[in-house]
Amino acid sequence: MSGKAFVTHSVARHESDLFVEERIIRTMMEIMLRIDPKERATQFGLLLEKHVLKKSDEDYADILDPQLLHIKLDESSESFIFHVLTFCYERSKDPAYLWAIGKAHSSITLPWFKKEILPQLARMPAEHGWQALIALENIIDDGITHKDIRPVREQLRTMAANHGGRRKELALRILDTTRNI
Amino acid sequence: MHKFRMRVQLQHKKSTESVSIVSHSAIMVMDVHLALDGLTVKASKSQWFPSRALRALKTAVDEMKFKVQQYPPRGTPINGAGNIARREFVDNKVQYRIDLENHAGRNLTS
Repeated sequence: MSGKAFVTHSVARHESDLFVEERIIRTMMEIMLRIDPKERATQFGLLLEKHVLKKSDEDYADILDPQLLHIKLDESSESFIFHVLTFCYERSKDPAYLWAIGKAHSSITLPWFKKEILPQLARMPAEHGWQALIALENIIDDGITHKDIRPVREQLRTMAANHGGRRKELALRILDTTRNI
Repeated sequence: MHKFRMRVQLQHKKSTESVSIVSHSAIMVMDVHLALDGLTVKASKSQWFPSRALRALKTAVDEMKFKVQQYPPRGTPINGAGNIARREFVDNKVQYRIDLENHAGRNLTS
């Protein structure tokens, strides 16, 4: 197969099939295998952030792997990375992946977040719950509808009622900032 | 790339200013404090950040500095990457936030 690769199975199971340039997939997978597993989440999260915020290479020169620094993403490759990160999260349960997933556009992230994370949000261990809330706030910042915010607010109320500390503080603040959506 | 990496970032919607902290040894509280001061300077020169909000930013920076001081000697979680602390502030009904992120290594042990 050349040019475009057809991605199915686990990395693309949450949405309809994706067509991503094979060269992008190869580069991503090479980097994925090469870099320290502990840094996968942050490196790919930062790559997503650079794309979503439309930042320059210079802004990320100190913190992004040189091989990732010059990659320009489009909607398909962003979606591909998102699916790889959700796959990694589901396998490893490393909360850093939640932070990274929250860096993608909300249109890509929200359906997965609603299905896989939101029902668990109030029951998550502290670090998972914190990174999930951080991801959620990014998703809301990027745009969320009135219909979508209702179940989110319900879970945030439960979280605020069941937990204290910084999770409660952040949940209450998100409730406050989303009350007019 | 340096083995130890953190970042402080000021954000309003999709506008950001950030200061990266990279080191060959664990990043210390003092490094983050300096980065937060650098972030304040960057914000004061930024085109999108209003100068009238600088006072609120400085208060938020002080609160963030206090939070960071609580990390030693335990430091950031082992292998823990992601958001370490978030502080929001409002100026003229506009919400801004400062994030501290751990990108690599166990930091803030001293």
